[in-house]
Amino acid sequence: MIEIASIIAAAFAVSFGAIGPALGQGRSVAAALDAIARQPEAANVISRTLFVGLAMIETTAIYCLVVSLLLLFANPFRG
Amino acid sequence: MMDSPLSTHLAFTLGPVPISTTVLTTWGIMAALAAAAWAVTRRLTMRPGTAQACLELVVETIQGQIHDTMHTASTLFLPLIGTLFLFILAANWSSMVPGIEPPTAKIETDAALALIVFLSVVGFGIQARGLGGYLRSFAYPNLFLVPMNLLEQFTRTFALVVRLFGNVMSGVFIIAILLSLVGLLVPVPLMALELLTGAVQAYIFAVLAMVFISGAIEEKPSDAAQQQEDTAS
Amino acid sequence: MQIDWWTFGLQTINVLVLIWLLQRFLFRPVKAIIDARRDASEKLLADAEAARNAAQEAVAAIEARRKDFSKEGEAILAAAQATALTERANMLEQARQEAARIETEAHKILARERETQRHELEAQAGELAVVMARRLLDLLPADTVTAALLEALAQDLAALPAEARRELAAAERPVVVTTATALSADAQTAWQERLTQLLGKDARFTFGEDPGLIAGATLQGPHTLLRRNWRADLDRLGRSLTMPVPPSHE
Repeated sequence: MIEIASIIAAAFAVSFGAIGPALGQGRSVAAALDAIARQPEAANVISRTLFVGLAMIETTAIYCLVVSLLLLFANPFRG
Repeated sequence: MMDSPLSTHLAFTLGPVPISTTVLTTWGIMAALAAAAWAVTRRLTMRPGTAQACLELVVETIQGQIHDTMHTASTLFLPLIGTLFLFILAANWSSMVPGIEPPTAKIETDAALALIVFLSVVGFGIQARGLGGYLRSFAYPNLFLVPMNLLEQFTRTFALVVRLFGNVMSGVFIIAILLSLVGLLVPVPLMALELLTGAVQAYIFAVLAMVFISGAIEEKPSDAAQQQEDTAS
Repeated sequence: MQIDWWTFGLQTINVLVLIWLLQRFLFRPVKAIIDARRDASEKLLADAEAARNAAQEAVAAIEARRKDFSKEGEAILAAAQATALTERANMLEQARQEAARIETEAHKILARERETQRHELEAQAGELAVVMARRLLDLLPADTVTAALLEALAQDLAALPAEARRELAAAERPVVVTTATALSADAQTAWQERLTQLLGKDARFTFGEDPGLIAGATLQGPHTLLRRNWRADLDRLGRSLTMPVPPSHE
């Protein structure tokens, strides 16, 4: 029972946890492309900042992944 | 049921010390990096050959990134940041070698790297501002935020660990799953993506380390404003 | 979830060791060689800068020297112009003098030519006068004229101082009486008597003939010359005409 719940929870964690970062990354990439189109000479700085920002946003998705992995492989409630 | 990506595998025991495969792989990567560096830097000339030019380009680029991000011309941080970048890059790309599991896909390695970054932040901060100054920087902008700032120190380090671990491990994990399902050619695009992800993660880890260190050593705006007032009066 | 603390510790040590290794074998030598190259290039740049400065100084020096040269050239030119001016003035002066000299010479030559021309004209006029006198004389009987003129001569002789007359008489050589036309024998004797009467018995006379006298006679002693003839008169007249010399054109 706990195992089934853990699997379902892990799936939900990954799927819903991916929505927010996906939207955020999409927005940030769009904004970065817009900025590069306006100022091509600043492309280096913008892309570097973009990568760092993407990594930051992605971290939330990774948190969800880690939580799901914990549920799957190191479930503290499984006893 | 496949192996847990959280567990390590014992390779052999050296006396009382159990040596995991992760440590073994890390030794291999260390040996390869050091040997390559030694082989090239053994005979450096004023007119560089191809290998020396590439190496100089790498070092110059890292130093340039340090300069851009930390706004300092100091070469004090070059060994730490450069080694972090090169080691994480080499570790991430070692997944391309068959039978090798990248050390960064294990949370112990990432935690060790993050611990070193954390200690470096504290160390450079104290070195740059003195113990009192460094501790006072936690009280910025006011005293009530001391718990928050302290918590931030640990959470961001933890985030550093989990980011690198999650990215690399998930990549390895997905490729392993695909290999177990199809086996031939299908994992190739994902492996290429893994190369990109590995490089980006190494870069991000190094950049974040730089940001943390420069945040610890540089003057807070209140200090700068205070100094400006002092000079003005 | 379990963490392998041994692996964690070993990895920490591994990373620290790797930092040291790369610092030892990668970053320090590469930084050193890059710095060395930068120093070398900076030194090269400084050398190039110094060389460029030296070249600019040399250029400036050459420029200054060229200015000196041009100044000197200007001075030389000015001196040459000055000498040329003085030379020209000298030459002009010389030419003017020469021209003046030539002019005066020409004037002189002109005057001389005019003089000779006048002399010639006078001579011609004299001859013309002689011819005219002869023509006129031809209209008169020669003897009458001669006699008249001899008479005048005799009067002249008589007018001479006594001393001169004695000298004539005492002359070793005979006194020569020349007439334009030959005297007849009667006339000769008559005149001889007449002259002897005037000079004394000691005087001797010879008579000559000279058509050049035109008309009249001369009496010539050793120291005395008496002339009563037209030739002499004409000559005297001509001389008196030509005597007032006209002023030469200057």
